[in-house]
Amino acid sequence: MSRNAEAITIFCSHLCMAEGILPFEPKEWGDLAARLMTLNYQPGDLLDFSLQDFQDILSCTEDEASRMMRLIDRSASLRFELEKYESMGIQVITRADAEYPKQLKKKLGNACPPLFYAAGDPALLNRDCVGYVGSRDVAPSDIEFTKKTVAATAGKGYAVVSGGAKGIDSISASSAMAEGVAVIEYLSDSMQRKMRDSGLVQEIRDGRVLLMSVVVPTAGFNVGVAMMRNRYVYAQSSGTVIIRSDKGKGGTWAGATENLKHAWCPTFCRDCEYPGNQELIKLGAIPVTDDWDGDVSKYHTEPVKPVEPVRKPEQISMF
Amino acid sequence: MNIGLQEIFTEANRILLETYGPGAEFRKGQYEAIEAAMTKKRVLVVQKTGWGKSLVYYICTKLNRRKGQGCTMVISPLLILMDNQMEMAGKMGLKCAALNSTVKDPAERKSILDRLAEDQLDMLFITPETLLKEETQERLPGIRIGLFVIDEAHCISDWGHEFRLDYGQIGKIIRKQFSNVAVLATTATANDRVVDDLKAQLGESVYISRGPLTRESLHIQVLPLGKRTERYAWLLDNLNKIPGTGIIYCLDHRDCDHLTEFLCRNGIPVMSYYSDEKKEEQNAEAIAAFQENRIKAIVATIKLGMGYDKGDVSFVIHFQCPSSIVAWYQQIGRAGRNLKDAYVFLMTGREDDRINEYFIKTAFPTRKEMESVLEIINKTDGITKYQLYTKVNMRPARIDKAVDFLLNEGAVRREKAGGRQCLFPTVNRYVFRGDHYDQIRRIRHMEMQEMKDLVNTEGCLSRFAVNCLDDHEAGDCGKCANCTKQDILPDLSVSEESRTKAIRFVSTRLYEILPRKQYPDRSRIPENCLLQPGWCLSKYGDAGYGELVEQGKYPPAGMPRRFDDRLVIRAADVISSWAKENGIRHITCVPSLRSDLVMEFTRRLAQRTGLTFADLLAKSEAPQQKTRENSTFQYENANNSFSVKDGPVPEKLILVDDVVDSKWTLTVCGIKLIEYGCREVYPFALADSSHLEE
Repeated sequence: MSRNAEAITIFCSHLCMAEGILPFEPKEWGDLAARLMTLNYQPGDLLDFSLQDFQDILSCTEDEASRMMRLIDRSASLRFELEKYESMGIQVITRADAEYPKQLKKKLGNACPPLFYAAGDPALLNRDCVGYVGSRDVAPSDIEFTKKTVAATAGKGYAVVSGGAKGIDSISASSAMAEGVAVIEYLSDSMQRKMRDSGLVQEIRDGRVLLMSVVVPTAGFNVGVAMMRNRYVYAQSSGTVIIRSDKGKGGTWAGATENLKHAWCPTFCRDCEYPGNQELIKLGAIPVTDDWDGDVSKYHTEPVKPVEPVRKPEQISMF
Repeated sequence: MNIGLQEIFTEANRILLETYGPGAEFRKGQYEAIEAAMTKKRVLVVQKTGWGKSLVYYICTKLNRRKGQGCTMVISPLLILMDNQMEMAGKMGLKCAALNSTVKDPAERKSILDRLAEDQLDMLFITPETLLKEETQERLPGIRIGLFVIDEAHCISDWGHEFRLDYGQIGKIIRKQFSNVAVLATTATANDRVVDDLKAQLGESVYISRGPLTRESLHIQVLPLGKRTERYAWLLDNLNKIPGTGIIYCLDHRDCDHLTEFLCRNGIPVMSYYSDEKKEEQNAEAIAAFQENRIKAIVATIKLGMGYDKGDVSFVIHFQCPSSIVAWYQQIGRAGRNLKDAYVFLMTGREDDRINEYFIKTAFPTRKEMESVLEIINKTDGITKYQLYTKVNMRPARIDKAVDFLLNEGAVRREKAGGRQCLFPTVNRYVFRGDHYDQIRRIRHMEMQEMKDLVNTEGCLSRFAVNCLDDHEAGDCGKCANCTKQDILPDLSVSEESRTKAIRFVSTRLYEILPRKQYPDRSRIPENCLLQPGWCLSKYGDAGYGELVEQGKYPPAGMPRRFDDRLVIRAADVISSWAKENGIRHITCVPSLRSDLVMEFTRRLAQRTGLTFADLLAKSEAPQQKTRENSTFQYENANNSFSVKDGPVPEKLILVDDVVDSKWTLTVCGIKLIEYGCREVYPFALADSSHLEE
C-alpha cells in the first residue's frame, strides 16, 4: 500500500470503529484532499502530523485535530481488522490505487468515494460493461427480456455491471455468467454474507465476478447507500439498460433520472407498457426492444440540460 | 513533525538514570535501537539473552506515553509476567498487564481490556493466540497502540526452528502494518537465514541491531548416553551434585511424565510441565514450585522456554538432543541469566532421530490432506469442524492442522453462522506450497545434522554453537568440557545400583487404558456398557516390551509371527493379581481374520494364568482398523466388523488385544459382549500406538 492509500484507509475506512472515532465522509475527504493539494502536501504526509501540525499547517481547530489524531492512532488496530477481511479475499481499493475504477474517477470526479471494499479481480473494472438496473420484483417477461438483452450485449463483448440486489440485478448477473461474460456488482450491503455462497465464491475465485462495496462488508441495507450505488453502475458502464422502473418513485427511477441529467452513460430503457419505462423514454432514454443488437457503442449521450459538474474540474484531485 | 532526535536522546538518558541511578549507561546498541523505534522505524534486535532487549522497549514506551501516544503491545509467548519485568516496569512507573490463556476469569480479561481502552495501561504482554481471539479483536478499535513489540521474533519466520502458525499470522499483519506504526522485533536466536527473512518481512528499511551471542556464564558438556535407563541413572546420581535448580528438557511429554515419576520415586523432587489442556493447573503449580526453588528441577518440553525468564536457573539438561542448534541455544539461554556460572548438559539418546524425524515429518500437512479438507469445505456453504471430522477419513489432529494451514493461507475462513463457528470457502485461490515445505524440511534435516556435528565436535562447544548462529567472531569459551578436557562439575558418575533401579522402573511400568465414555457423535455410552479401566504393557516400539511387540508383529525375515514368551510372562504377572482382585475367571481376545497372532498369545496367557479361554467374538471382512483415521470411521468400521458368537458369555472377563490405538475396537467389542450378558469387561493390550503429540 502506498503512503497515500494508507492515509485514505486510515482516515476514511468505517472498519475499526469505536467511541470517538469519526472517519471522514467522502465529501469531507474530498475537501481535505483538495486543501492538501493547494498546500503542496499529499495525504500520506498526514500520517506524520502531530496534533500541533494539524492546527498549524491545516488550520484545524483543536477538536478537528484531535479527531484526526484519533484516526491515526487506530492505525495498528485497523490493520488487524483489514487482515480479517483480506484473509477472506476482501481488499480495500482507494482513490490512490491504480486499481480504483477509472470510469468512476473520470465521470464522478471528487464525488466518487475515497475507497471501496472489493472481492475479486479488480482488472475486471477495465472491461467495457453494460449496466442493468430494475426493480426487485419481476414478472416472467422481465426475466425473459433481461436474458435476451444480456445475451445481445454479451455478444458484443460487454461484461455486465449491476447492483447485486434481488430481481433484475441478480437475473442480469446470472444471465451474464450463463453467457460467459464477467460480472461487476456494486453492492449496497451484506458483502460478507453474500460470500457464504460457495457457488458465488467459486465464480469470484475464478475471476468471473467482482464485488464492490462502498460500505463495510458487514453493513446491512441502507436506502441512502443503495441510491448512491446506482450512480456507480451508470458511471462504470458504457450504457445502462433499465428493465423495469416505477414511475416517479423508487431507486430505479431516481437513478435513471439522475443519469439522464448527468449523462454518465447512455440510458437505455426497455420499450414496454410499464408507465415508468414510458416516462423515462419520454425524458430521453433510448428505447430498446427484445430484437435489439446490444451495440451500445453507437450511442453518445449528453446531459438532458446543462448542469453544474459535481465538482469543478480544477478541483478534481487524484485522491 | 516527529519527536526530534535530540529530544529522544535527552529523554531516553534521563529515564535510564531515573531507573538505574547515577552513572547508568546504555549497553552498546541499546540507544540506537530506541532511536530507530521512536522514529517509527521497523527495528530488529538480535542480541543474546541478558543483553537488555526489554529495556529498549520499556524506554520507548515511556517516551511514547509522555508524548500522549498509545500503549505498547508486546507479543510474547510468555505465560506469566516475570518478577524482574514487573520490577523494571515499577521502577519506570509503567503500568502493565499480561493477557494469555492462563487468565481464565472472563471478568479479569475484560477488566484488562477495559483498562487498555481507557488508556490506563502502558504495556500489555499478550500471546499471539490471545491477541487473535475474537474477544480481543473486538476490543482493538478502542485501543490505541503506539508500539508493537514482537518478542521471540524468530517464530514469525518459516525458516525459524520454531515456526508457529499463530505467530505467522501476526507476522503477516506486521508485514502489512501501516508505515506509521512502529514495530520492534527481538530475538536471541536467529541465524543469517532467519535474519534475512525477518528483514524481508519487516521491510527493507529495517534497522538491525546485532551483537555477539556467546554466553559467558555457561559451562557446557555433552553426555552421549544411548539408553534411556543410562540417562535415568545419570540423573539420579548426579542431579543433586549440580548447584541450584534447573530445567530438564524432554522431546515429548511421555518422557516428561516417566522421568518425573522415576526421579520423584527415588527422592528427587521434580515436577513436569508440557502443553496439554488437562494439565494447565498442574503446570501452574509446577511453575510456582520452580519459581520458589521448592523443586530441584522442572521437567519440561520446549513449551517451557521462550520468554521464560527466571534469573537463577542454574542448569539446563537436555534428556534428548534437540532438533537444531538454534533450538538448543534458545533453550539453554534460560540458564544463568543472573548467575556467574550455569551448567548445561546435552544428553543424546538412541530415540532422538526417530522423534525429531517424526516432528519434521508431521510439521506440515500433506497435499492430499489439504486437498481432501479443502474439497469438502469448498462444496459447502459453511461447515463445522465436527461435521468435517465425520466427512474426512483423517485423524482429527491432522484435520485440525490442515484447517489451520488453510485458514492461515486464506483458503478458508471462519465465521459464526447459526450460533456455531463454521468454515467457509474464500475467494482466494489456493496453491499447495509443497516446494516451500520441502525446502523447510531440507533445512531442518540439515540443522539436525549440525546438531549431531556439535555432539561429535572436539572443539569448543560454545563457539561451535554461536558459529552456527552466524556469530563468527566468537573465540573458545574455555569453560566447556571440550575446552577443559574434563567434566564441568566434579564427581560426576553413575552407580550400578542406580542403573538397576532405572531398568526395573522402565520394565515394570504399566499404562492405563481408560474407557471411552462417548460415541463419536458425542452422545454418552450408557454407564453399564463402559469398559472397566484396563492395562497396557508398553508403548509400541519403545525399548523393552514395546520392541518385543513390534518384533512379534513384524518379525525379521524368516522368523514366524509370534509374541515372545517374555511378553506372556510379564502379561501373566500383571493379569494374575488383577484377576484375583476382581474375581475374573475368563479371558478372550479380539479376533482377527489376518492371523491368529493374538489368539495364540491369549491361549498361552490363559494357560499360564489358569484363566479359562473363551472364544466369544467373530469378525467379518472389513478394512484394517488402522486405515481408519478418526473416531467416526473407526467406530463404524469396528461396529460393522465384530459380533458375538452364540453361546453363554461369562459375567466378568479380560479382553486382550495386541496393539491399542483409538480404543474403538476394545470399546465396541466391550459393548457387544455386555449386550450379550457380560457385566464387566477388562481391557488388556500389549502396546499402545497412539500418537506422540496428538
